[in-house]
Order: sequence, then C-alpha cells, then structure tokens
Amino acid sequence: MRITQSMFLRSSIARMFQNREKMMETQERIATQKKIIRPSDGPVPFSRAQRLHESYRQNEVFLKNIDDAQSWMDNTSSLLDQLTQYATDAQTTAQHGLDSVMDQKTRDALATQLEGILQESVSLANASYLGKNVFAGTETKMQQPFTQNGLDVEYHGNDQKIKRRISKQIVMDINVSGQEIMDTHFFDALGTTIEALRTGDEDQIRQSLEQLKDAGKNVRHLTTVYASKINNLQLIRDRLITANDNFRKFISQDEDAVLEEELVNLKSQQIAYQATLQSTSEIMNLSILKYM
Amino acid sequence: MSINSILEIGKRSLLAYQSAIKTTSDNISNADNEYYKRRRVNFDQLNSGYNALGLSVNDALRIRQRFAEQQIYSENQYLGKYQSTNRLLSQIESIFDESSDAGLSKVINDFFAAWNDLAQEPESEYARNLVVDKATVLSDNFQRIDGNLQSLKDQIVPEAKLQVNEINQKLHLLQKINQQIRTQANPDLLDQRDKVLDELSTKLNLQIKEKADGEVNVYSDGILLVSYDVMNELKLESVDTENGPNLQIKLANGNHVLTVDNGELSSLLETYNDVIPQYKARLDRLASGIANEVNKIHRQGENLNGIGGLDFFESDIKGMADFKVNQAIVNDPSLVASRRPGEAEGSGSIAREINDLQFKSIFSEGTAHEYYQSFLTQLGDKIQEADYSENSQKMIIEQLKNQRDAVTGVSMDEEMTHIVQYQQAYGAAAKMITTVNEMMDTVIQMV
Repeated sequence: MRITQSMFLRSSIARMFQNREKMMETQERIATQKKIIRPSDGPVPFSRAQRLHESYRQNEVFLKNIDDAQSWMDNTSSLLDQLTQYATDAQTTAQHGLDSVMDQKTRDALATQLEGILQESVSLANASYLGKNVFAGTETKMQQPFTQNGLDVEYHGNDQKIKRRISKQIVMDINVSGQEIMDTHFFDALGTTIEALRTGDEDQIRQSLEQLKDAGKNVRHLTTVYASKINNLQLIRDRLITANDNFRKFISQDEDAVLEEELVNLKSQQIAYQATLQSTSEIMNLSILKYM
Repeated sequence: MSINSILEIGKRSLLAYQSAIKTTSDNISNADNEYYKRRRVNFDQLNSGYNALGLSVNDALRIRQRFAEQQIYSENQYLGKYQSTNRLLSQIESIFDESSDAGLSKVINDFFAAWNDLAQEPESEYARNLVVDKATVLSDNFQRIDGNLQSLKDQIVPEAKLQVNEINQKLHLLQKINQQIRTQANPDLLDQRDKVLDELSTKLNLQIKEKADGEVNVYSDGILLVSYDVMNELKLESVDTENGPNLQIKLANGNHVLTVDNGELSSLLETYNDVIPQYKARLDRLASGIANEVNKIHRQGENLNGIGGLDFFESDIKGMADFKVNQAIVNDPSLVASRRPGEAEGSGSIAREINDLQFKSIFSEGTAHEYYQSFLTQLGDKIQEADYSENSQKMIIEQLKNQRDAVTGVSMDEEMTHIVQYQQAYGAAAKMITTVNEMMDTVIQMV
C-alpha cells in the first residue's frame, strides 16, 4: 500500500492526541485521588458508591439519635435507681415500726422519716433533663407533672412514649412515663404506711408493709426492664458503627484511585508518549532528499 | 527523415519533461494538503498537446478513490453527530456535581436530617429554624439546576444559527464551483469542491451525487439543496408546541420542514427539542414529588401553639422552578408542625413521619434518592456510549482517509525520484539537441 505524507501525519497526530488524552485522565485521577468523579466515568460503580454514601449518611443520623437517646436513658436510669433506693429505705424504716419495743413517739418519728422519703420521691418524679420533664410522657414542658397534696400524689402528665428512630427498621421508646410510676403504687403504699404508723395499729402497719414490699418489687422491675433497653441500644450502636466502617471501605474500593497504580500508569504513559514523539520525528526526518 | 525532424523531437522532449517537472513540483508543494489529489504525468496526452498539466477529470485515479470518498462523506455525518452529542451531554453532566457537598443527594439528605432533629426536639424553636434553612437550601439547589438547564438550552439556539449560516455559505460556494466546472474543468476546482464537501458532510445528513463532468448535486432528506442552477438555502425556526418551543430546519423560501437526523445539526436539535426537556421533566417530577408528599403529611399536623393544616412548601408545586417553602412559614418558622392535633409538645410524630419519607418509595423507581440516582446513571450511560461511538467513528474515518490517500496522496520520496528521473531525461534531450547541432555543423562544413 502506498504510504503518503498526509497518511503519516494523520496517524501520528491521532496517536499523539490519544496518548495525551490518556495522560490527562491519569493526571486527573492522581490530583483528585478519585477514579470515579462523575457518572460518565463509570455508571455502575458510580451508582453503587452513591447508594453507599446515602446509607452511610443515614447511619450517621441514626448514630446521632442513639447518642442522644443514650444520654437521656442513662439519666432516667440513674433516677430510677435512686427511686429503687428510696423504696428499699422506706421498707427498712417501715419494718422498724413493727418492733415490739416501739412506742408511739418513735413511730411518729418513723412516719416523719417516711414523709421525707415521699417528698423526695415526688421531687425525683418531677425531675427534668435538658429542660424536658423526664417522667411526664410527652408533656415535656409541663410545670409540675406530679403534685402532692398532703399524702395524696396526683399525676397530670400523659402515658405517651417518646420515640426515637435508631435504625431503618427500629423506632425505640426511650422514656418511662409518669403513669408507669403511678402504676407501681409506690406513692399509695407510702401514704398508707405513714397513716398506719401515725395510728399505731400493728395490723394496719403490717398490711401497709406488704403493700410497700409489692410496690418496691414493681419499682425494681421497672428499673431492670429499662436497664435491658439500654443494653439493647448499645448493641445496635455497635452494629451501626461496624456497618459504617464497612461502607467506608466499600465506597473507597469503588471511588478511590490507588495512588501507586496511577503513578505507575502515568510513568508508562509518559514513556509511551515520549517513544511516539521520538519515532515520529525520526521517521519524518527520513526523506530521500538526505541521500541525494 | 530530416535532421529538422530530430530537432523537433528534441524540442518536444524538452517541453514534455519541463511540464513533467512542473507537475511533480506541484505535487511536492502540495504534499501536506489533505484535499489535494496528486497529478500524474501522462505522456500520451502531453504529446498530443492536450492538457499539458497532466490530470483530467476522468483520470483513473479520481475514479478509483470515489468510493472511499463517498464513504467518508457518509461516516462524517455520524462523527459530527457523536462529537456534538458527547460535548452537549458532558455539559449537562457538569450541572450535577455529586463529588462536592453541594450535590443534590447530600442536600436532600440534609433536608430530611433536619426533620429528624425536629423530631428529637419538637419543643425547640432552633430546630424549626434549621428545618426552614435546609428546606431553603434544597429549593435554591433545585432552582439552580433548573436555571442551568435552561441556559444550556438557550445557548443551543445561537450555535444552531451559526451552523445553518455556515451550511448556507458552503452551499453557495458549491454552486459557484459547479458553474465554474461546467465552463472549464480544472483539477484545483475539483480539489476545492472536495474540501467543501468534506466540511459540509459533518454538519447534516447529505447525499452527494457526482456528475460525469465533475459537477455535484447535494441532496438532504430527499430535497435538492444545490446543483448547477438550483440553490435552496436553509433557515432555523422556532415553533411552539405543547411541550415548549421546538427548533426546526426549514427551506429558506417556503415552509417545508427538513428532517435532520445526522450530523452536528441533528445533535443540536435533538438536545434542544428532546433531551433537555426530558431531563427537566424528570427532575421536575422529583421536586414536585418531594413537595407534595411533605405537604400531605405536614397538613395533618400542628405546631406548638395548636396552629395547623398548613402546607410546608407552596401548594401545588409543578417542578423545580416553583419549588419554594411556604412564604408564611419562611416569615414565621414557629408555624412548622411537629405533632398531630391533640398530642403533647414532646411528641414529634409529624416531624418523624416527614423524616421517614426518605425511606419511603414515593416514586415507582423507589425512594427520592433512588429516583435521582437512576437519573444520573442513565445520563452517565449515555455519555459513555457517545464517547465510545465518537472514538470508534474517528478510527473508521482515519482508515477511510488512509485508503483514499493511498491512491491519491502525495509521497515525497516518489516525487523526488521522479524529479531525478525527469531531470536526467531532460539532460539527455538537451544532449540530443547538442548532438544534432554538431551534426548540422558537420554537414555545413562538408560543403
């Protein structure tokens, strides 16, 4: 086949541009450290990476929710522990009331002690955390969810749950509503016991002590169930953190350029380009004129 | 046989080799001209006195590579189309920069995350301000995308006009060449004609018919655009259709619409008429889908003061351009609803439901994020395809041009060899004349 000047020029220039284009692409990958920057670089890895980014971001939001929930629940849990302690103290104090060496004056003193515990318990039930009522259900801004009138305690909040979404599938209730505390009958039992001590009737005292014991059991049960929820939360948190670590790894696999690989590519493309330039110029120099 | 006749032969030889060297030097000076078809020295014609310059219209060379040329004209049309499509789609792609934090995916995500924050702190005024802020960022983003698509579309009009003007110019040029060829065929004219045809064929779909005398008839979509006496210019017009303005190519005199389905012009028209409106429609659906679903839920809720029933975004949003937060809420962020009527302030149920929309399949393609992703993926696919087509088309044309040049191109070495050959022949002819001269002298001295 005849080879002419123009054929030769055309091929050389086309090859040179191809080489340069490849070098420019490698350069971009090195500068940005990414091999997939836009959809056209690779539609399939791009969409995969985008989906992973989205899941990662969603998990970050869940982790934030979990952190918030954990601090709330830790606070509630320590309050419940305190309440359990009060229940135990009340039991012990009331038990003294059954000692045979008791006289009415001592019983009255015990009753006053129990009144103190009642007051402390009510103010504990009215506790707030970060400006929100802990035990008022969703009435988080109400002034006083528990009011005390003598020995009667009334609850004005609601029994609604405060919910937090902690994963795509799970919405967790993170509070203990005041209704649940009322349902332990702890305040009732305290009230009855104080009355019984004031009257001094042994049978009455014995009955109210039984009530107090049951109430104490209920409070302990509430505390235990709540503590297991906190454990659950921790497990979910650990799972999400592992998931996000994996997502980061997968995203990197799809998106990131391996610097060593790209540098080696750049070097070999440079060499290829240099070789093209050299050979082109040498062949262009060859002409019969030189030998005439 | 007289001595004079030998002299005559000598003279003719000198002239012939002079012409041959002139032809060869023509070839050499045009060695790098892509459109120059090399002239061959044809000694029969020289001796009979016809066309001393050496190449006639019906020269076998021109005929042999006519096939390659027709192929080149036809493949050029595809090259023009793919190149233009690749460029335009890449420009569209650059509007959606997902590698930065300003990408639409992240902005949509931030919007829903703000509702999550409100669901955690429904009593808070700050959380409401955040929701309105992020919603405003989202609407700004949608409007930016809409604006960019529109200005890209607008840019196409002057570009298409330019193309049409160039096409008309070249058509005029071809007609002039046709007329000159009929009077006096000339290889330079033919070369010029080929150059114009090559440039014209990347612009729109053409059929080119070459007549026996070198004139050329150019048809497009079955209509004769230019011949010896026919000239049909083209014009660009914008017609209103139900989907918005459409660009059309028409014959300048009259209303006949030309179907342009190949070449750069077709890619410009297609992008303006179909591609950009389609993409805009899909994104409009994304925007209005999000707005409507959020509004549906927000309407059922109330804020901390019990005021409810409001839409969060403006009612009845059709697309990106009118995607805005309800002005009443912008003026007073405390109107953002967080709970259902009757619930206490600690309940963030409405805010949670709106946050959960990001997991809900509000489109047939899935969630809002998946819808957007499938849009981007399709765009990326199209660009890869156009890129691949463009590159393979370039290679095809390179091959064809090589084939053509193998026959009609100039090879320096060949021409230089010819020069040496002709020079020696010239020298020999001159020597012959000197010899004849001496012979005559001898004869004269005899007497």
